[in-house]
Amino acid sequence: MRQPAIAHTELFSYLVTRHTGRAVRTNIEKQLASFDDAVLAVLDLRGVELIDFSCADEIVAKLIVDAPRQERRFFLFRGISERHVEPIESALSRQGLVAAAETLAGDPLVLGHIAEEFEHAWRELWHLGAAVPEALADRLSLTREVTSGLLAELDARALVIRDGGRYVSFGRALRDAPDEERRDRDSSI
Amino acid sequence: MSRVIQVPSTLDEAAFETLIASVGPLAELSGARLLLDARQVSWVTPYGLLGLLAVGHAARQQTDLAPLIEPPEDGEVRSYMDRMHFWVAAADVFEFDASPPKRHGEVDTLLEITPIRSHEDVHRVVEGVRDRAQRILLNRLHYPRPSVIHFSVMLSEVCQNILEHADSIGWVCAQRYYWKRRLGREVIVIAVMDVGVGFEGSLGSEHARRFGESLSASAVLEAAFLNGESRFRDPGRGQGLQAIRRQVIKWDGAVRIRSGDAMIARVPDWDDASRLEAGLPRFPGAQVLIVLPERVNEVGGAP
Repeated sequence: MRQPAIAHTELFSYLVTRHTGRAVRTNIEKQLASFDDAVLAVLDLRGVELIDFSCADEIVAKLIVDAPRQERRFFLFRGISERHVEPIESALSRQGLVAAAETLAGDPLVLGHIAEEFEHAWRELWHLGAAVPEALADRLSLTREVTSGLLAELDARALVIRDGGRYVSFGRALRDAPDEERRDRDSSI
Repeated sequence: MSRVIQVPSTLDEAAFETLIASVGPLAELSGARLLLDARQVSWVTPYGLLGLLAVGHAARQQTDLAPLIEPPEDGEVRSYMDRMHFWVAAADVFEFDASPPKRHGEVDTLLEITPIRSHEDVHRVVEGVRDRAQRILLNRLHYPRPSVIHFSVMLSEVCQNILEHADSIGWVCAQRYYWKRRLGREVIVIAVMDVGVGFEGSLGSEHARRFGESLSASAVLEAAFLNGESRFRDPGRGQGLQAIRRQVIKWDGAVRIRSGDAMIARVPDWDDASRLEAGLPRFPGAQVLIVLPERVNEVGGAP
């Protein structure tokens, strides 16, 4: 698969009420609809003073639930701090969803409902950047078959990007993205 | 024709029950203009203030006649009602002889009475309360810094309940107190009320449609408050009340929700209130009371 395009969105201020959440999500979905191929949507929450449970459901959970299956849509929530975690985790866990995130300090973080072994595999891949199942199996001290199963599940949940026989973390995809593509597709909400 | 109702002299959540019992079934008000005689009121809580607005609004909806209100004679109570912007909100509900609004220095009020009609009102409440909430939560209740965010989120969710479920106007207000006799600690009291369809109207109809059986107000309150059930099929709904309940438990606080003829509560160890009541005087909408107590360490002092 070709590397996904990157769509940056900066979110600001007080994300409260379903009405606000729907408006923000609609804007993001419009932005993503302009891509005709795979896209990694990076939502930056550094400027978000607070997000309530309703808004977390409308933005984070519904973006993931409503992402068209036939088009590859990936989401990375960046700039996550303690004040964002509980509403987002609650919104995701309630529906058995999961989302890739990055803390303010740049550490990888999985939010929502995920078993420990999948989260561990996801973190290792994040640190490696990209890997084939054999390489990740070595890092995890698991068999190739088990590791392939973990990666297949992470792929199915759109937490990693499959590129032929290898798997790419969102962090690597961002680093590899051409600069002009990022500039062209930035927006603030 | 007027129907005169004496407002209890101490107007809190218990007296609200007395007040609506005195009013009786709203349907029987038809054609009669309600007059709330509050002249003897000597103490009123945020819940009591919103209770006056709720009773007035419900009567007005029923009769199409603006109810009347006789203000308290007690100077301190009048001053408190001014500070809480009661008369500003009351102007949309009652007919009364307006006295010029007075300006007061900010005291213990955390949030003056604010009508909730739209999501913009919720934004205004959440964004406007931040500095005062921070000062009171950190300095008086000794809560940790992240509590300011948690408090704002709780306020947002409880106000949204009005927009999402009541289909009606509602009000919110909050006040800090020192509960000397009852608890020996400072508390924040938040009151939120509406006179809309209530939990039965909101959740009960969907439940009946889905399961072919009707539920009582108490059963609907349990379903919403304890199990996070919602009238919406969307599985993301119903989080707000659950989140409020979890947060109140973390802070060892109390939350009480009244709707229809029932009440459900999260009761902390320091309180001896009922956890569930049915057969109360029937009243439209939902009435919420939240109490957040000062944090103390194990030996009873401020941490």
